[in-house]
Amino acid sequence: MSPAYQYYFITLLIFFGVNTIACWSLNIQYGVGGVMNFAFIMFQALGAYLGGVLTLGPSTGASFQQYVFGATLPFPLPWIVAAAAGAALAWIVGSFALRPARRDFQAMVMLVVSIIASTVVLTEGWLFNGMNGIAAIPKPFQSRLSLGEIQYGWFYLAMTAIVVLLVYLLVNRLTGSPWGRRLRAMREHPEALSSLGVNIRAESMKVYVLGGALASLSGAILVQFIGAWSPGSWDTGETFLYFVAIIVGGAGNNFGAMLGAALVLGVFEESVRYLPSFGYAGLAEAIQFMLLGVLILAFLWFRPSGLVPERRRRLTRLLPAVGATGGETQTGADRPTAGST
Amino acid sequence: MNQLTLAIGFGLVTSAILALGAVGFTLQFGVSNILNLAYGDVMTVSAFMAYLVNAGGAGIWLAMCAGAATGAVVSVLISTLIFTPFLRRGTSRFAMVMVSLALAVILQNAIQAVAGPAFRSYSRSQGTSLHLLGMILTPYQLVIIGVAAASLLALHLLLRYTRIGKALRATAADAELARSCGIATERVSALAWAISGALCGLAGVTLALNLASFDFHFGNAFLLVIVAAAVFGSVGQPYGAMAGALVIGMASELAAIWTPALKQVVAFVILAVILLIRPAGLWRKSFVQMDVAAR
Amino acid sequence: MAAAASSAALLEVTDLRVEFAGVHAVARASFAIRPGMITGLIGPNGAGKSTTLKLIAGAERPTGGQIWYAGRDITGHPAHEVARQGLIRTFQLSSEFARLTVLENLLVAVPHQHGASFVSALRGRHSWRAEQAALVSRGMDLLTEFGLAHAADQYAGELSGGQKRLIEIARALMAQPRMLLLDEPLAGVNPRLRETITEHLARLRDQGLTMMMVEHELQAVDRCCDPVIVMAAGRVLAEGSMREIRANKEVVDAYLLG
Repeated sequence: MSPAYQYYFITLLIFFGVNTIACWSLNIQYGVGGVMNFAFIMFQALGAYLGGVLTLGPSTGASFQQYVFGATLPFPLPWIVAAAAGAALAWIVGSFALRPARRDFQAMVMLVVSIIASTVVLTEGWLFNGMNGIAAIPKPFQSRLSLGEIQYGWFYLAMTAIVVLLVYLLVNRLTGSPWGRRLRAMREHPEALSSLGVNIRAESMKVYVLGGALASLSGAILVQFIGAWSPGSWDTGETFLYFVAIIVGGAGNNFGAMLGAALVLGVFEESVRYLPSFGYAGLAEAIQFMLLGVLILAFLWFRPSGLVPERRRRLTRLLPAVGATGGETQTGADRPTAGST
Repeated sequence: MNQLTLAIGFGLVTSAILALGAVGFTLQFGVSNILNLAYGDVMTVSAFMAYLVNAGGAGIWLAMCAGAATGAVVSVLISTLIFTPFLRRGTSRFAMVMVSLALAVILQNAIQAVAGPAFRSYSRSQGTSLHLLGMILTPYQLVIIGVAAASLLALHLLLRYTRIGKALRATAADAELARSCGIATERVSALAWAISGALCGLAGVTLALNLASFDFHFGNAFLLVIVAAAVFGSVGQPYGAMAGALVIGMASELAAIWTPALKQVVAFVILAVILLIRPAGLWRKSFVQMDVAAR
Repeated sequence: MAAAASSAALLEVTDLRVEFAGVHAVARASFAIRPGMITGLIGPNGAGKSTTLKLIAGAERPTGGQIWYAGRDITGHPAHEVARQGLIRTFQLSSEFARLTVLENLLVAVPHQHGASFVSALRGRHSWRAEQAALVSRGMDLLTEFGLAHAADQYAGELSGGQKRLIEIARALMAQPRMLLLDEPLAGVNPRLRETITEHLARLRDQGLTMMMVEHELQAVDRCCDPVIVMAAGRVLAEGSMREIRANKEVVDAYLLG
């Protein structure tokens, strides 16, 4: 394989890793917890911006880009700070966006917040360099390791894979736990769960903050590899893209989310690159998004559970073994009585 | 002093446009219990249709009618072809917002694909501006205020005094009960979408008229202000939406005296504050009245 | 003030009122519920019965009045706080967790589980596995009593209407309630299943559970409720045994006219 193809391949895989983390973040918020985070891309953007400025060093008047919070933090601090900032932002937004009891309302407010955030960052150039965004972000360890471009790519891919694994362990542990079950119940009928003693607003906030941290982390990982980030990378269509990925892949299922990341964010997104260019710049993208809209409607209509539906948890497996002989040792309690329906 | 009165003048125009948009949005919600995130894009479609009519040689009045009609037709279409079938299929109200977002994405990108990225503006004749009480209003801005006032007055009379209006209010308050009283709720619903769609269309055209030029995503950008006004006045309450429009319209223009950038932020700040202190909006005491099985 | 009853009352409602859009859904309702009994709450449509239950359970905020439960003032407390004190409400419309299995529905109701909070979930499977197995056993016992053991791993959303009703009651029981507020538990349920349910409820009462039941099915109310409270147009009309109620002229009028 020629070096160019190798590098492309590595880049694809890193994107896949980042998108998997992002999809798991949105999945635990929406697929598991029922919190429809229409401000998703804002969190990823925060992580990306912070990951950038925290390695670029303080913004000097002479440099070609201006931004806040400049520093040169050693790896992995930028990633950690980004995740923490994502959690903090989620806490702030959640404090008013999660107030309405209706979740479509919450979604709408989050969408509004996201649009406002992108407008503010665009117009207030002092924040993150406005329209041009930040660039020339140094890659971690690059100078120290003095690897070739391809080898460094493999190195970064390995680091990404480690984080993906760690996030998987975390998310899997949480969704398989009684707390995960509680989140799913909240998704199904928050009012009923509330009447059983669960504080819906508090639990929504927890899953929102967790998702916020993971989304920001994914942004930081991405930005330190691609080296640049601008408002073009995070318009609200991107949030929509992630929702398509989850719904197509299978909301509520971690493997489904990963599949969605591969199919929608990987295959579908990349396939546009191979089409012959036609029309004016942006036309292909517009058609692409139209198709995505139709795709999500099709799935919502025909297969709302997605390609890989949520696993059914057969709790009867936790019961002590009835006995290989077929249950004669059981008392009559196990057999449906005459009054059964 | 001069800047202040100028800002008040602009505030009246913005409030007028916002009132049209917010009342339409809130009406749609009131009757269907759906938050239609494609609303902004219907505004854009209507504005573009008006542009076509205008480019074809018609005057602004005719273009406005075209815009209103487009808004009405498109709204009824999306309600009957998309929203109702999904509801009948058992999609929860909560999931409907995803459907409306998908619709918004489809519409916006369809407009972009067809119309291209270029900015358009209506062709209009120059007139003399009106100088009144320290405000300076162009003839088109006066038209906007007039159209808004007339439309909202007509809506008020309709809701209050006609049988259709009463049917609308009954369906908005309790669809089940209305149906059992013999009200043809499907027809009433279609009518509500048509009326609110017309308001949406007018909002789109007046907004485009007020901007120097517009492109395929200007309606969607305005949606956030519409949402803020509707939430402020309690979603589903037309008079609340009018109040919200006035407050936010004025506040954003006055804030612009300091920095133009503050304009949109004002709407957002008001939205956040309202949600923190009184999430159900100013017109309601609690969410109970609108939270009928909204799972 | 029902002074004699209040010392023995588990739940006491005084001057409760709430209004929506100018309508007084509940207008100065007062009554006391004594422990260990099933108190019926009946009345014509629109009497405010369901609303009263919701107010007590904290699902809605009253505009006036007081609610005392187990010696505490719970007026205006949010629903989850009220539930944590053992006052559990079931719903008029089906409220099962559709895409959770029947057993999951039951288990999610149990309070104070290891692993049910975000922090404790982080600790991992071994910290909650044993307890979960025990809870599954308990859940299965309950399901067996209700004759639904065979549906344990089925999605609750796939059950019939009557089965869903049973699941909701079973779920409420798993929450270890001290008092149940049942909102039309027999609505849409076939007659044979109705008998099963009322038998279960009677058995639970004998075991010490207090209940308040809103119902339209007057035969069922007759069978298991004593005393019975009648509401109409947001007010409490009468209180007493079913026989006394039936003889009460005001009640008869309310039903005929309402």
